[in-house]
Amino acid sequence: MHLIVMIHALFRVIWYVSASLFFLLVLVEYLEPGFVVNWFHPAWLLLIGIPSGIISLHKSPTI
Amino acid sequence: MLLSAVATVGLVIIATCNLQPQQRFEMTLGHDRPMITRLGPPPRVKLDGASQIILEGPVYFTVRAPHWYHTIDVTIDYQPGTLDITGVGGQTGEGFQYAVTPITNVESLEDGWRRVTTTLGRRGLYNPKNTTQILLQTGPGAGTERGLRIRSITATLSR
Repeated sequence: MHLIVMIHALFRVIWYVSASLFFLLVLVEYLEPGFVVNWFHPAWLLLIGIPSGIISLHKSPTI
Repeated sequence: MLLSAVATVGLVIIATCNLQPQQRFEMTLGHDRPMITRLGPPPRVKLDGASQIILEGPVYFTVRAPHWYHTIDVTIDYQPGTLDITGVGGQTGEGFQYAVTPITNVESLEDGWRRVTTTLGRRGLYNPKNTTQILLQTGPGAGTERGLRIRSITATLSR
């Protein structure tokens, strides 16, 4: 597989993992306030995930 | 695969932090932290180097922790001036409703500071969204310096 295609796939995985983890952490935080946010703010996941998701939306170059 | 491993380790670390028998939160004077806020309201406190001066009482701060921590031990290192700490209390209802415990066990430290520890039961207190507001009550002190100087405030939560 070409390197750039692999990078696209990696960004897609980063997006899926960080977005699903974000929703999981928000749910836990809603059920037990302070459980997550006292130690780690889930917004950091979106900061990583959204740019990765945008990059992965672009059509992968096929060479 | 690697990402999932990192995420799992992160989740385990967060869970471990919250399932310890005790959590100890030290206030960063003048700054809010997620688990313990600074002292307020702002007009009544002044930051002075590494310590904070309470110009007028009462002052408040908030602790946030999961509901299974039932006891909060508030430890304050201070030097009385024209004000002295007379009580520590937790909010029991909306608005100005506090159950204040008068302080009795003041300990004199070797470096001239004083330390007081008060235990508050969290069950009878008002804990919206797992936050507990704590009040420091002040009264006239025997010192000459204006207000009351605080060096550190630590909240130790126990299950």
